[in-house]
Amino acid sequence: MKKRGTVTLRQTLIHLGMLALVAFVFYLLTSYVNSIRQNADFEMLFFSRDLALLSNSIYSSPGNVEYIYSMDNKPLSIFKIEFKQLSTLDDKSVVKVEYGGTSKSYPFAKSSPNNDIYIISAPKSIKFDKKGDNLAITKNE
Amino acid sequence: MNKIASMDTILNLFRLFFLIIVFFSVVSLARAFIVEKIDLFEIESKLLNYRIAFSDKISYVDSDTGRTYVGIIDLAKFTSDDFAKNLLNSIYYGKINSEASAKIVLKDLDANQGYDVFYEKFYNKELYDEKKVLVEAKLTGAGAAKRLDTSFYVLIKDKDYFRRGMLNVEAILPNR
Repeated sequence: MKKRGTVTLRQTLIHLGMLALVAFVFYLLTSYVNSIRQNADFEMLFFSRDLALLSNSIYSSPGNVEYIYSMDNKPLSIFKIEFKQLSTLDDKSVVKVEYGGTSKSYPFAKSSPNNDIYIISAPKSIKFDKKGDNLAITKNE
Repeated sequence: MNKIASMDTILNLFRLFFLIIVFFSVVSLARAFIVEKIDLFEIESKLLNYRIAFSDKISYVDSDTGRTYVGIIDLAKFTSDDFAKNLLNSIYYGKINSEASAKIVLKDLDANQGYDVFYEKFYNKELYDEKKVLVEAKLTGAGAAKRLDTSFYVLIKDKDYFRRGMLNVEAILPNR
């Protein structure tokens, strides 16, 4: 019969196991929160929609328009941005924002059924230049 | 001894269960702050209404300067048979346009005929007719649609005469 107050090896191992489990769970939680912090999904969502709405606004303006799009608080330079048709079968125009293998896209309306494609990688800002019905989109440093 | 051991096991199971609850609570709380959807209906529909109203397919364009006079509706353009096709090509969402539709009503306020004179046209009529049913049924969620009306006081240019008018654009956009 064991004396009162003595701790068996089994109990010690159980307590150590519990501590290890708690440490592991804490590590999982902090990794998960850190992955959310590094996640750029919201930024991609925001930029695809903002650029699509901006394209629509510029197309709807009469006459010639020049506009430089930049965001001081949210950097554009980590993204690859494409203004292109969705596919050869579906000629809907979309703004596609890509980062780290994932992308978000949003459609916008051109002023004619042309097939201009603009691919802009890591821009500091983007220049929209509309002359008549034609819109040219370029990287602006 | 066996009773103590089984009590320990039960207590450990409770601790494990509690730990799982805490874990999922933290994950749910973190996920609650992640935004996965941005509702753009109001701004997108207003933009469509203004784009239609400002369009050179509706507005009077001076042939000498090429300037578009927004707010002056060219009645000849508005009532032409090619109006719908021209407008669809000037606000081009693709061969199969499943993004936007609108009904455009031009009311002649100076008609002096004892009754109201309306001219009714559509932007993407097929989608408008399809989604109008869903709007009237007040359905919500993906696959349904929402409507926004915008009215503009305009001048109607009928050959060399100007009359007062009102342009009403009713945009119907499918929910994303």
